Amino acid sequence: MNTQALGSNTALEAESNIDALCRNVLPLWAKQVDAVRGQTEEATVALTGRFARLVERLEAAVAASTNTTNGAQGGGGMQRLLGDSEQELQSVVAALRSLLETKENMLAEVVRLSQFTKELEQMAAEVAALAAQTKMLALNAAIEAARVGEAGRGFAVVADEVRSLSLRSGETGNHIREKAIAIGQAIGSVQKVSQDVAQRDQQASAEAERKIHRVLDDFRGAAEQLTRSSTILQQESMGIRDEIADVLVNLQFQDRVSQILAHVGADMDKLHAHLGGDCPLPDPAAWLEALAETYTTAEQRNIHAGVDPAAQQASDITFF
Amino acid sequence: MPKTVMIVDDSASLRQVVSIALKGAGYDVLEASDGQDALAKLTGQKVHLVISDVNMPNMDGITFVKNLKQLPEYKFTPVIMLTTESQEGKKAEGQAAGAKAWVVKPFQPAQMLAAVGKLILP
Repeated sequence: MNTQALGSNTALEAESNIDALCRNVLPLWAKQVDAVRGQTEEATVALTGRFARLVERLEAAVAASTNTTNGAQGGGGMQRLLGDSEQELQSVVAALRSLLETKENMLAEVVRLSQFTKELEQMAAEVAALAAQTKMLALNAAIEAARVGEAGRGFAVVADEVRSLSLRSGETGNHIREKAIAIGQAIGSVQKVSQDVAQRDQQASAEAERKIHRVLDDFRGAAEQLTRSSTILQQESMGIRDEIADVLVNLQFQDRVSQILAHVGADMDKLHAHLGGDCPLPDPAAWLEALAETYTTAEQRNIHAGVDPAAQQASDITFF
Repeated sequence: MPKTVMIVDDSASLRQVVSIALKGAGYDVLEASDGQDALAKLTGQKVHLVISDVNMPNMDGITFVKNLKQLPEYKFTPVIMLTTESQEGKKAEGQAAGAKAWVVKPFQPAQMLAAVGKLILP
């Protein structure tokens, strides 16, 4: 065997080894590529689903917050609750004020009543004075009747009766005066008690009004804080939604990767089929031309042409 | 009553991305994994717009649109092609088949929603 024949045998042996290697390794490569493609797709679906739930939960949180502050479907929420509460409490304050006013009017009536009792006392004193004068008149009449003698006996009886009546009138006048004094004292006590109660009522009412205003101010402050928080939450939520929109754009890489890997896998299968068969391998140029026909992305064509395969940016829409 | 959009794509993740954007805007979404699946699922449905990929197994997007336009109830239903293909020749094929717009992946959800809003049937 000469050297040339030996070399030719070695080349044939090497070609046979490569052929055997390719026939064994190509299906493995194709399966690996397919596995990668499947796993990436699965992971991307799961990831996209997680982002979808994130968006849903975010929107639910923003909706709940907006409903609390502004109310659902025009319900009013916190602002309306604040307005309603303010109105209710203001009506309580108004009722308290009205009650105080009524009490003050009642007190003024009591004061007016005490003046009547003074007039009554004065009138009783006048009655007593009239009775005293009548008594004196009856006494003089009795003296005159005695002086006349038997003829004045009838007149003496009348004079005696008039004196008796004047005495009773005087006693009645004194009784009226005593009662008027007692009533005046009782009215004075009532007036004093009423004034004390009115003063306490006024203080209690003023304190209630202060407390109501303080509660309303605190409530208003809390509502404003809640509204500010809700606004911040909405702004943050919009920012997060924009971020997620960008993430969703980037997650679309999976579709491109999947297509490229599918084409590589299919070409490996095609090569494997040729190695296993009897038909000779096609011309490399024809093979590459056929491969280029399968491309569906710009980066595949760029790689094929030896151009930098820059990542595809989100594109504009072409309307027909 | 929300309007219904059908998304036809063999990539589950891409269908999900489109679905999130559409559902977020208040649309109902129907999904199909290729042209053949889409034609089967369209029967008895009222779909106001279709978004379809181009390269799919069983029935590609261009063939699907041609078949869709043969159906009397979907003759005027607008179709947006959503694909990795950006070659003018492919776009011309889509236009000839009856598509109303061509979007190259990846797409911006806001832009897609604007296109859907512009083209969807009343």
